[in-house]
Amino acid sequence: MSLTSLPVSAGGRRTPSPRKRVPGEPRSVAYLYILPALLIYAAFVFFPFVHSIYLSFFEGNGITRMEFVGIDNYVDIVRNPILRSAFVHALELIVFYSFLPIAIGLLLASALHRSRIRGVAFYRTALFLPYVIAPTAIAVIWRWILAPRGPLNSFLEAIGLGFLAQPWLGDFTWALPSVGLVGTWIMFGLVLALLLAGVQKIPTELYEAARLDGAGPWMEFRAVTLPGLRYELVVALVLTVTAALRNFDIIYVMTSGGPGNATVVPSYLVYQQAFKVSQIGAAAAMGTALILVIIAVNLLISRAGRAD
Amino acid sequence: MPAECAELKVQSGNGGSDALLAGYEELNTAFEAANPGVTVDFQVKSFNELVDTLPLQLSGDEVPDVTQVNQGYGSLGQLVTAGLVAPLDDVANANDWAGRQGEALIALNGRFSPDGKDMGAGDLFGVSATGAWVGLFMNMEKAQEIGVTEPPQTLEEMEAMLAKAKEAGITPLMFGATDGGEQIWLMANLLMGLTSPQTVTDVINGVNEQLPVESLKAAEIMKKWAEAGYLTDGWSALDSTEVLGLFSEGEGLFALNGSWNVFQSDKPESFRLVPFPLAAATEIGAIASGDLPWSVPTNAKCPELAKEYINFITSPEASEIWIKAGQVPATISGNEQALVEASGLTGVSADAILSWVNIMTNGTPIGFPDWATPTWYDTIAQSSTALMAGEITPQEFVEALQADYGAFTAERKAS
Repeated sequence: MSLTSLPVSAGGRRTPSPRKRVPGEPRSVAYLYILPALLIYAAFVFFPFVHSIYLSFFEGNGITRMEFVGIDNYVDIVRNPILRSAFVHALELIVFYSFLPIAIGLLLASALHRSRIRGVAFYRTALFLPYVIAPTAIAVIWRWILAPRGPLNSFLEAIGLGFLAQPWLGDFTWALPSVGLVGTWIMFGLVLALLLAGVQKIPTELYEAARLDGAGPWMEFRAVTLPGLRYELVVALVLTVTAALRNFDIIYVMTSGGPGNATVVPSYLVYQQAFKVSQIGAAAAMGTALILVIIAVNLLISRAGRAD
Repeated sequence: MPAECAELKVQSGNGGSDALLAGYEELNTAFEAANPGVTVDFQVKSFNELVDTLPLQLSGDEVPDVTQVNQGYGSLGQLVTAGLVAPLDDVANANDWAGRQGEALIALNGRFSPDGKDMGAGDLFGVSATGAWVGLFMNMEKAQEIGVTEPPQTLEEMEAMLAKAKEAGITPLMFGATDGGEQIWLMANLLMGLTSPQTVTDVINGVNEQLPVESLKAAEIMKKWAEAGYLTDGWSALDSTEVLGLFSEGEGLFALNGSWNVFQSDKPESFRLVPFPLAAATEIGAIASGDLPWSVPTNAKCPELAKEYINFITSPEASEIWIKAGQVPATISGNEQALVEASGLTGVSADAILSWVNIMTNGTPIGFPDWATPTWYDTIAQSSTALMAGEITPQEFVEALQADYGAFTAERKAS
C-alpha cells in the first residue's frame, strides 16, 4: 500500500527537523490551553468512569451501604443467561448496523463510481439523512410502521401477502432483525457517504490499468476499489460497530428489550439495573464490561486495518 | 408554624393524568384557603421520573415536604430501610385514617416494619389519596350478541363467555403486552381465583419463600387463552393504552385494565367495569390499592404542615372533590352513590368509584404483585410474554418467577 492514498499526505508539508529550542512560548504552556477542557472532561467523563468501575465491585441500591463483592457482578454477566444474551444480541446487531450497511455501501459506491449518475449529490444527501435525524424520532416512526396494524402489515395485506404480516416487534423471531434493519437504514447513508468520498479519491489510472489488463467488474472491485477504500472501511467499521454495541435509544423506544428478553442489549440493562431496580453495582459492571468489549473490538478493527 | 413553612413543597408522580391533577389543584386551593399564609408549590413529575430519581433526591438536603412514592419492597421499602421517609402514625391515629380507608387498604399501601424488611404491617409510611384498582372492562353490547346480559360471576362463567365470543368472531379479551402490566394483572387475578385474596396478599408481602402450587395452574390458563386465540391479534406488540382505545371504540368483549384508565364514550351505558371474577360468585377481591401513596421525607423542612396536607387530601371532605373530578377517592365517605349521580358520572366512570366502594366494604383489596421483589415486574412481564407466545412451558414460567421471588425473599428474611 502506497502512502499516496493517505488523505493527510495530499497537501501536507513535512515538519522541519526539530531544533534544540522551539521558538515562541515554552511547550508546557500548551497544557494551560487545554486545561479548561481537560477539567470538564475529567469531571464529567473521566471521574464518573473510574467511579463506576469502582462501583462495579459492590452490591447495593446506591442509598444504603454498598457491600464489596469482588468480581461477582462480572461473574454474573457470564453466568446469567439474560445478561449474557444481551451481549449476544449486541453482536447480532453488528451484522445489521455494520456488515449490511458496508456491503450495501460498497456495492452502491462502486456502481455509482463506474457509471456516472445525474444528481449523485442529491442521493447522497437523501441517503445520509437518517443518520442526522434523532434516533428517538426514528424509533417512533419505525415503531409505528411495524405496528401490528401499521402501514407495513397493511401494505402486505393490500398486495395479497397478508400471510407474511407479523406483530414484528412482538415476535420472538422477528423483533431483533426488525430493530436491526432500522439500524441498517440509519447507518448505510453514513457508510455510503464515506465510501463515495473514498472511491472518488482512487486515481482513475488504476482503473484504466486494470481494464487494460482485462479485469472485469469483480476483479476491478477486488483489486482496485477494495484496497483503495481500506481506510474508509476502517472508519466505517469503527463507527458502525460502536453504534451497534452501545445501542440504547432505538431499543428503548421500539421494544424496551421485549418481547420477553428477545431484544435486550447491554446499554438497556445498564439503565434498567441502575434506575429501575436499583442494582447500582450490577449496572456499573455491565457498563464497564460493555466499554471493554467496545475497546477490544475497536482495537481489533484498527489492527486489521493497519496490517497488510 | 416556622416562618420558612410559608411554602409547602409537594411532589407528585401523576404527570400525564390530567383529570387527577385537576383534582389536586382544587384541593391545593382549598388547603391554601384553610391555612392562610401558606402556598402550595405543587411539582409534577412523570411516574417513571419520580420512581427513578426518588432515592437520590430524598438522600440529599433539598427534599420536598411531601412526596408521592411507589409501593413495594423495591420502592417504599428501600426508602424506609434507608431512613429517608418518616412514620405518619401520630397523624394517622389522631385522625382515624384506618376508619376512613379501612385497615386493609392502609396496611397494603403504607405499612412497613421500621427496618423496611417486612411489608404490610408495622409503622405507617404512606397513605393514598385516590384509589386505583384493576378490573374487567366489558362491552355489554357485544355481550348481548352472544346472549350474555350480566358480567361473569365466576372464573368458569368468564371462560365460557370467552369461548362464545371467539366462536362469534368477537375478540374475547383485548390484550396488550408491551408494558407488562396486563400479564401481571392477569396472572394475579387468575391466581386469586384459584386460591384466595389472602393467599395472594401473602405472596406479595413475601410471607413464604415458596410460591403457591396453584401458580402452575394459573400459568396453564394464561397459555391456554393465548393459544385459543382469545387475545387481540398482535397482542405481543401492542401496548395497554392502544388496546383499551380500540376497546372503547367497540372492539372486543373484555379488556383487563385499571380504574385510572376509564374512558369517555358516546354510549356510556354499553360499558361496564367490574372486578375480575374469582372461583365463587360470593367472593369479591381485586388488585385494588391506592394510587401512589403520599409520604413525608425525613429531611422535610416542614414535616408538621406536610402531615396536615396529607390529612387534608385524604379527608372525607376531599373525597367529595375527588368524585366531582371523576376520580376514585381512597377514603370512603358512604355518600358515593349520591355524589356519583350528582356529578353526572355514568358507565365505567361510575363503576370505577362504586365498585371500589364495594371491594373496600364487602371484599378484599390486594396490592400489585410486582411489589414483592424489586425485579419481579420485569420477570413476570417477560416470562409471561414468553409463556403466552409458546416460547417457554408453564413449568419454566413458574420456575423463573420462583427463582426471582425465592432469592429476594430469602435474602430479605436473612438480613
